[in-house]
Amino acid sequence: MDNVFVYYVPLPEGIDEAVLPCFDGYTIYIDSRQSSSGMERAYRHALEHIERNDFEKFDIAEIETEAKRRELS
Amino acid sequence: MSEEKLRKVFAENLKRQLELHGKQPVDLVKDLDIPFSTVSNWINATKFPRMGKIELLAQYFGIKKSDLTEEAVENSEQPAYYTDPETAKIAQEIFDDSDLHALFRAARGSKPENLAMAAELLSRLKGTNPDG
Repeated sequence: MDNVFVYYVPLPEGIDEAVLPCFDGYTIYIDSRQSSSGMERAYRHALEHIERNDFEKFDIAEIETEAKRRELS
Repeated sequence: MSEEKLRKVFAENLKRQLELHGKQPVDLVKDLDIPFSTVSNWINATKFPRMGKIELLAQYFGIKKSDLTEEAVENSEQPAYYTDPETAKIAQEIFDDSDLHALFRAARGSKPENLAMAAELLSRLKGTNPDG
């Protein structure tokens, strides 16, 4: 797997995590104002996006609906 | 509707609203001071709440009481993740932006302004982080 850099920052309401590619891997920003279990869920969600090559896909609705389905299953 | 059906409909609606608002059942315990066993009984469709609690939940989620008590009509169209079309549009724009290309874990009911704010924040952070 590529490098993964994780930062804990306050994100706007309703947003637990953001993940984006950087020049030598991926950067994950996790909302620092949530509970530790929320942070763990957010981190796992971000890693799954990376592992499933979601950045190669096109439709955000499809990507997030599938990610949510996996989380709930 | 039978009592059993009422309980099941309520349980499904409650789970849907929790998901839409990015909440967990435990948030109802903490935010509304409702015993965990009560929330668990609602989620598992073993009990139906009293009207006062339905009103409290409706206020908490900012919805109508009927959104919790009546059977939801399934939309047969292609499912959109975000409930607000403007939020969905902004999320797609952020993903399509080659400078950001970001994915989020965000509540389905996220407000468009919050997603736009997050994109602005990410742009600034990306410029300051050594890993770029």
